[in-house]
Amino acid sequence: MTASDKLAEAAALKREKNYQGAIAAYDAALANVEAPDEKTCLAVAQCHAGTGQKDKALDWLALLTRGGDDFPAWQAASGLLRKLLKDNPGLSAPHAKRTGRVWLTGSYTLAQLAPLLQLAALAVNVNIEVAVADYGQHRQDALSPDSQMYAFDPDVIVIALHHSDLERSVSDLSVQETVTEATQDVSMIWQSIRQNCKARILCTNIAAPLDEAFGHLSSRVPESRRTIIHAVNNDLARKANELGGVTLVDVEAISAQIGKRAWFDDRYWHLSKQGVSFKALPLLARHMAALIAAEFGLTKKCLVLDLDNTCWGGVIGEDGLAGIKIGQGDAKSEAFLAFQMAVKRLQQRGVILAVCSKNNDADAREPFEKHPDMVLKLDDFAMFVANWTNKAENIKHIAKTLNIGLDSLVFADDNPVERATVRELVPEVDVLPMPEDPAGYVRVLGDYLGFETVSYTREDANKTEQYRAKSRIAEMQATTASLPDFYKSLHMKAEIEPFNDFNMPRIVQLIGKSNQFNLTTYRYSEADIRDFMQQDGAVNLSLKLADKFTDHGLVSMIMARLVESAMDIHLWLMSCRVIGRTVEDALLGELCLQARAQGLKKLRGSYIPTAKNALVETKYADFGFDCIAKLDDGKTIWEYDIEKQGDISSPYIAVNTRVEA
Amino acid sequence: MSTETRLNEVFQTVFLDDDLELSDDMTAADVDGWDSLAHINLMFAIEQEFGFQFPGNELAELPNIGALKAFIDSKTR
Repeated sequence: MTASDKLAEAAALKREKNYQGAIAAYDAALANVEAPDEKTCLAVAQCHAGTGQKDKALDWLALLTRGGDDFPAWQAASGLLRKLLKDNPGLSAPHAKRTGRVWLTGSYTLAQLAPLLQLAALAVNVNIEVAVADYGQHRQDALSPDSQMYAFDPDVIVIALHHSDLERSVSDLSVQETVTEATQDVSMIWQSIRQNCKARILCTNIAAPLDEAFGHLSSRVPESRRTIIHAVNNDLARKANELGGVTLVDVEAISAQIGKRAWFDDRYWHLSKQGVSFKALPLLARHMAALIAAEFGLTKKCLVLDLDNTCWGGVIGEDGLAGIKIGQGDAKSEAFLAFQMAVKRLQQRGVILAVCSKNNDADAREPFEKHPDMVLKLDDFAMFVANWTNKAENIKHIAKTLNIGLDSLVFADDNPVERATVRELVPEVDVLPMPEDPAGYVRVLGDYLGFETVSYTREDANKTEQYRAKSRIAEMQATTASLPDFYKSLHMKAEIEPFNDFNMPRIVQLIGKSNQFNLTTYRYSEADIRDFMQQDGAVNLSLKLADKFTDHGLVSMIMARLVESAMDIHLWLMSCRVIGRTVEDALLGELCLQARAQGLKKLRGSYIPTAKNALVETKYADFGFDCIAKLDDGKTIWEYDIEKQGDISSPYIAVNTRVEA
Repeated sequence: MSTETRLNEVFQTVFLDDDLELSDDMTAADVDGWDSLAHINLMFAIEQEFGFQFPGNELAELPNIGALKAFIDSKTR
């Protein structure tokens, strides 16, 4: 039986409502299919829903978003998702890591996008509830403090703009006035949202339409529509940078990606104000969902690469240094070269790289050391694992050594068997669907949205070095006689300063993504943090760490305030990459000094358990805090008497404080 | 597949109802959930399945499923 016969048989069983039988038939038909198409995924999800296997149904709905962008299939799938959630209160996606409320508003009809966004978010492990405003409501909603939008209490407000916004007064205004007015209009909306609530803002820029009166001359003519739209988009980007906390969805770029003829559909615009064609909506939903996930701190951190036939053509252990294909000269070698260059650009942006290859270590390293055409060098990798152990184990080892979650890894391998194994054994890892032809590798990487990020800081650019230092240190630690000697030998220096405009982006980023060393795991937006800073006796400390190997940048922070005559630690977290260095001693020590400067004798803190922060369960006890309360939800409250128990300090870190006591 | 079968599948997908069976005298009022939102989704799904475009809002002018089938046949023959 051919694959399509098997699928037809499964579909027939589904029509007869023999869901159990249909599931078995689909399983058999799809056994060797890496990414089933969206319609098939929908059918399988329906069968699982029919037999009451809700988690499986949700898994297939998530898978559907990777199968293709057919709007009717997405629309039906999002309907099934809503039905499942409605019929099963409390049902949550099996892999959901964040939940949030999203308000969708803007200059065109968004009723169709809303459910698709919920579906796309499910696929990136975010459970969202979406409410949608009538089109054109965003100004009123933003400006009026008692609007429905604020009453909904959203975590994220998504604003979709359209080029028709600019056409209101084109004739009366000069070019500069049009641009200024349009930009101010939008930034005023952002600012009033900021004043009225703490929601994060996700706003599109404007996709320039197809028709352009000036044609090829347009970019040279200030009053051409395209020039005006590009000027508005540039101004929006500048304003977003100034204001902070606004994430732009670059629809000008993604409309070009799918093609503007596909992005715009004038019939549907005139019929029901669809600013983006249905054909393009799933793509837009996936991009928005990726940015929402990034807002929630779920950006993937590390790309794990196979070597043979992934980074170069051929097998180094068999073909030898001269035999592998990489560099200029033939199509295949150039395709691998192009892939390495694309990977390098990601690495330079802050994605960390690791090698996971079945090879002898020396063979695997040889091209990096000796082949003149390699773009990627050994220094670009935070970890290099080449051995004959299975890849699932090696990937777990990589995550553990770099101290990052398995769910922040992405795996690229040309071998479908390796990909299937990793998918099966480490399902938390995103596995890229590499095509057979290496010429397609770059596009797969470009289409993958897990690396989307909402901020870029100095720390990001330097990331590989920091993680490399970490694996080097792991080696050194193994060879140094005693831990104290080892820590002393690192010559660590900390700089502690209060929160300010310069470190705020990094602080917001850390609050969004720190899981393990995080005592309370409150996910605060910049607005929340600025509110907190205004509170009585508030102390906000951030800590930068450097050692003889590397500058780790800003790695830890504390937000505390005066509560019932104690310095109450509200949020305390640290980046995993410096765990074990006694950074917490240094920061807590500074907090003691701050508390005493305010005339306080006690520190107080809480621990709220999550799935990921068991690491710090006994952190307060370790410092000699007394447990004064245990609540039913697992939360514990701790107190430390500074006067009786003395100040705290790190034995290994030299601290330079820039905080006024 | 006949126009009837294909159209039936389109309706089942748009209205997410495997039990939905079309008949010629059916109208929008007979189908659960056929509101203005579903209408526009349906229009797109039919256009995509059969590869033609409704002029303006022609879909809304058609009195019943029988007329819709005849219209599709006239466009695709």
